[in-house]
Amino acid sequence: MSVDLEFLKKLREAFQIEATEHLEEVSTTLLSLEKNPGLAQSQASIEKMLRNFHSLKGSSRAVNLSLIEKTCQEIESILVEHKSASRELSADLTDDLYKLACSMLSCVTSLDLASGNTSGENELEKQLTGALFRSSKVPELESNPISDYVSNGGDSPGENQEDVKVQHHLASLSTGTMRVSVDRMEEIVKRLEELVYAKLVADQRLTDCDDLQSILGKWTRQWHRIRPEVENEAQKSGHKQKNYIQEFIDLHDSFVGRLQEKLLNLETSFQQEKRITHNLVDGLLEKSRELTMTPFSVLQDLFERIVRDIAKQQSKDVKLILAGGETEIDRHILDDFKEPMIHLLRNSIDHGIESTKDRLEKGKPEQSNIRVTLSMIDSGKVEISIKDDGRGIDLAKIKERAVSMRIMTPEKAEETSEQQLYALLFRSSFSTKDEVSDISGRGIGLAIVKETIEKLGGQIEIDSKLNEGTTFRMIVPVRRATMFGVTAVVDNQTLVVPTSAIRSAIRVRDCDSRIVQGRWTLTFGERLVPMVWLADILDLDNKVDHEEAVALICGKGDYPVAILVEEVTGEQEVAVSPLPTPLTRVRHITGATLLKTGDLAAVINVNDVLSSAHLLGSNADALEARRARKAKTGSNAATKKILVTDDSITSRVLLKNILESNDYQVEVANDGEDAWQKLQTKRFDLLITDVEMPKMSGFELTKKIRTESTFSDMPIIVVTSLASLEDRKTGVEVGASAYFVKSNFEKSNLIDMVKRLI
Amino acid sequence: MSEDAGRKALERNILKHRAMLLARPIEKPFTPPGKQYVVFELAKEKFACDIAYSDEVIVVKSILTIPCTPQYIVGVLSLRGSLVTVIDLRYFFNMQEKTVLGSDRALVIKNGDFRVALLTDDVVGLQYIAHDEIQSNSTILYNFPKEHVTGINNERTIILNPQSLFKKEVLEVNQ
Repeated sequence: MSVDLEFLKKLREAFQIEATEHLEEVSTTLLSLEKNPGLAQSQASIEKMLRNFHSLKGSSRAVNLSLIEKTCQEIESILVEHKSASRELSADLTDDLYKLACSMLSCVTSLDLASGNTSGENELEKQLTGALFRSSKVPELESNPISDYVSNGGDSPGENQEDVKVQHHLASLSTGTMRVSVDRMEEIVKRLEELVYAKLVADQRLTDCDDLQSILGKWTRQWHRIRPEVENEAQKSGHKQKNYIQEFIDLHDSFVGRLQEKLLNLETSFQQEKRITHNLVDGLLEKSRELTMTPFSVLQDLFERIVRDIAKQQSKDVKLILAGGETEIDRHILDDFKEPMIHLLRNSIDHGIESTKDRLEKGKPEQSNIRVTLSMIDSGKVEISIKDDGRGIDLAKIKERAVSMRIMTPEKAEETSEQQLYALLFRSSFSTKDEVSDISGRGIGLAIVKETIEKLGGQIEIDSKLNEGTTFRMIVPVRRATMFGVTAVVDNQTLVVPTSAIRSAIRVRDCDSRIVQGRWTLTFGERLVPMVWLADILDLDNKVDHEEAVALICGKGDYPVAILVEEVTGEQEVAVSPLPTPLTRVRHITGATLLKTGDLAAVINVNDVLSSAHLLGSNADALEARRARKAKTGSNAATKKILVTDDSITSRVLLKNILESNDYQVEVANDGEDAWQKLQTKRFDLLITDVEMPKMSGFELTKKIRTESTFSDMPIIVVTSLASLEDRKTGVEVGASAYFVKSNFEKSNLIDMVKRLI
Repeated sequence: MSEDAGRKALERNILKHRAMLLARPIEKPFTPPGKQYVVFELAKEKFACDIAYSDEVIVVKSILTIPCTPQYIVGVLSLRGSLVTVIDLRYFFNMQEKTVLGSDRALVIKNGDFRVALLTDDVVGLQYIAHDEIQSNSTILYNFPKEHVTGINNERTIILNPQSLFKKEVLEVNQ
C-alpha cells in the first residue's frame, strides 16, 4: 500500500512539473498573441496550445484532476472550433484563456502531493463557466453557472487577474524544481572535483608548518646546550663586548620565543582551516555526486525495446520484468553500465532462451521471462541480476572446450569447481574459434562485459542450471568514489597509480623473487606472480636494481601481476583530468592530476599496463631485445668523453661529479686556451664550457671550434651565470648547441641536455 | 581680475586659430594588404603564425612529460588550471637538430576549440607581412610538408598554415 502511495506521490510530482511547463508555454503563447494579434498568429497559436492542452488533459486524467481535464476539454473544443472556421481568437477570448491558464496553474501548484487534493478548484470552475458563457457556449454540466458567476462577478476583473498573477509568481518561485542542462551541471560537478586540491594544499601546509617547528626545535635544543658556554666566554671578554653579547642573547631568546609562539598559532589555524576545508569539500563533493544520481528505470524503455526487437527477430516470445528500477545510480556509472547490460540481455535471448518449439517440447511455457532485479546491498553498492529461464549453460561443454584448448587436463577439468569453469567464459580467447553452439558468441563479448564492470569497481559472476536458466549477477557501486592514488617514482618521474587497482605493495627484497621459465616472478601469498617493470612498459629508464624496487600487486582475480616501481612516496586523493587535445588516447595513461606539491603527474591506466604486461611476458624475446637496447645505450654513456672547461674550481668539480655519476668520462680544462690544446690531442664527444674565462672566453672557444677545427660539428653546451638575452644571442650566434644558465642550474636538466646531444 | 581672464581667453582663441591654420592631416602610411603575424624562432628558422590563431605567449615553468607519446608531444602543462598539450614542431617537421631549446617561451595556438602550446627558441614579436610578400613555392620549403606551410617571405620567415596544421586530425594521438 505504502509503495502505491509513494508511487502516486512521484506521479503527482512529475505531473506538477509537466503541467507547469505546459501552462507556462500557453501563457507565453497567449501573451505574444495579445501583443501581435492577427489571423496567421492566431492559427499558429491555436496549433501550439492545442498540443499543450491535449497533453495536459491526458496527464491530469492520470492523476485524477477531473476539473483540469474538463477545462482542457472545453478549451480544446473552443480552439478546434476556431481552427476549423479559420477564425481569429478575439481579445476577450485570449484574455479568458489566459486567466484560465493562470487558475489552472495555481491549481497545479497547490496540489498536495500526498493526498492529491488541490485548492483553487472553485476559482477555476468559476472562471471556466464565465469563459464558456462569454464564448457563447452554454456548458451542459453546470446547473447554475451563470448566476454563480454573476453573483461573484462583483470583483473587478482587473483586480482578479492581478491576484492570479501574483499567486502565479509566488507559486513558480516556490516549486522546488529548476531545469539545468546536464552539461552545465556536469561542468560544475567537474570543477567541484578539483576542489580536492584545496584539501591537499591544506594538508601540505600543515606538514610544512610541522617541518618548520621541528627545525626551530632542533635549533633551540642546540642553543640551550651551548648557551652556558657562550655566556661563559662572554664573561671572560671585555665589559663592552660582554654587554653586546648578553644583549644579543636576550634578543635572540625573545626572538626565538616569538617565532615559536607564532608558529604554534599558525599550526592551530592551519589545523582549523584544514578541518573546515575538508568538511566543506567533502560535503560539497558528496552533494554534487548525489545531483547526478538517476533512477535505473530510465533505461527501462531502452531495454524493453531491445528485448522486443531481438525476440521478434528470432521469433521468440520474451517478457522483460524489471524490479527495483527506482534504485538511483550515478549517471556516469549508469552510462558505462548500459552497454554490458544490453550485451547480457542480447546474450540471454540469443543463446539462453530456446526456440518456442524447444520450449514447448521441454514442457516450459511458451513465453519466457527475463528478470532484471536490482537490490541495494550495504555500503553504496547495488546488485543487479539478469535471470533468464532458458536452457542454461552446459558445464560439460565448457570442460570439453577447456580441454581441447589445453587450458586444463581432463582430470583437472573434473576437479575444477563450477564457478571456476564459468569464469572461463569471461576469458577473451575462450570459445572464439570453432562454433560450440551453447556458448558461442559468449567469448569476446563477455570479456568486455567483465572488463567494463571491473573498471567501474564492480564484479560479475554466473550461476546456471541446465535447462532451468542462467543468472548473471553483478555488483557495482552506485556512486563514484573519491579516487585515491599511490604516488610512485619511475625514472625520476612521479606517476600516480589508482589505489583501487592495487591489491598490495611490497618490497621485492622482502619476498622470494626468482626466474621461473625465463620470467622474473615473485612469490605473493602462495602464488607465483610475474614481475614487470613499469619503466619497461612505459619505455622509461630503470634506475634501480629489482631488489630495491617496490612491487605493486595489481590485477583482479586469478591473474595478478607485480608491477615494479623504484619507490612509493605516498598516497593522496586525486581528481583526474583527462589529457587535453590532441591526446585523445595515450596507451597506459588515463590522465593527469595535481600532486600535493602543485606539480602535475600522469595517472596510470592499470588495465592497459596489465595487458601490456601480459604481452611483454608472452613475448620474452621482445623484452630481452628491449633490455639489450637499453643496456647498450647505458654502456654508451661510459665511452662518451666530455671536456669541461671552467675557470672556477668549484664549478669544475661540480660538473665533473654530476657527469661522472652518470657514467660519462670527464676531463677538465682551466680556460679556453687550455681546452683548445686538449681538444687538439684527444677526441671528445661534447664540450661544456663557461663563458667568462681568462685567456680565451667560452664564446671565443666556441667560435674557434666551429670555424677553425676539424671537429666543428661537436656539440657544445655553454654554461654561465650570465642570464641576459644578449649573451644568449651571442651564444647561439657563435654556434653553441645549447645554452645553460647557472642560476637555474639543475642536475637532472643538465644530464637530460647531455643525453639529447650525444 | 575679469579683464585679465578675458585677455587670457582671447590669447587662447588666437592660438587655437593659428593651430587650426597650421594643422595638416596625419599622413597615413600606405600599407599593402596583409596580416599581422607572431614570429618565433625554432632551430635557427623563423616561423610566423597568423595572430588570429595565436592566443598568448607563456613562460613555461614545468612540463609533465607523458610516456608513450610520439616525440613531437613534449608533454602537458597547466595553464591557469586547464591542461594544454605542448608540441615540439621540430620533430613534426623533421628538423630535429641537436640543439636544446634556447628559451622557456611557448606560443599558445588556438584554432576554434583546439588549443596547443608550441615550444620556441624565442618569440621575436609581431610582424606585418603583406600577402604579395609571401612566396609559396620556394625551394627552401621542400623540407616542410606542403599543406602545413603557406609560404616564405623575403626575410626567410616561414609562414605556417594554422588552419591545416593546428587541428585534431593532424596532431592527434589515439592509441
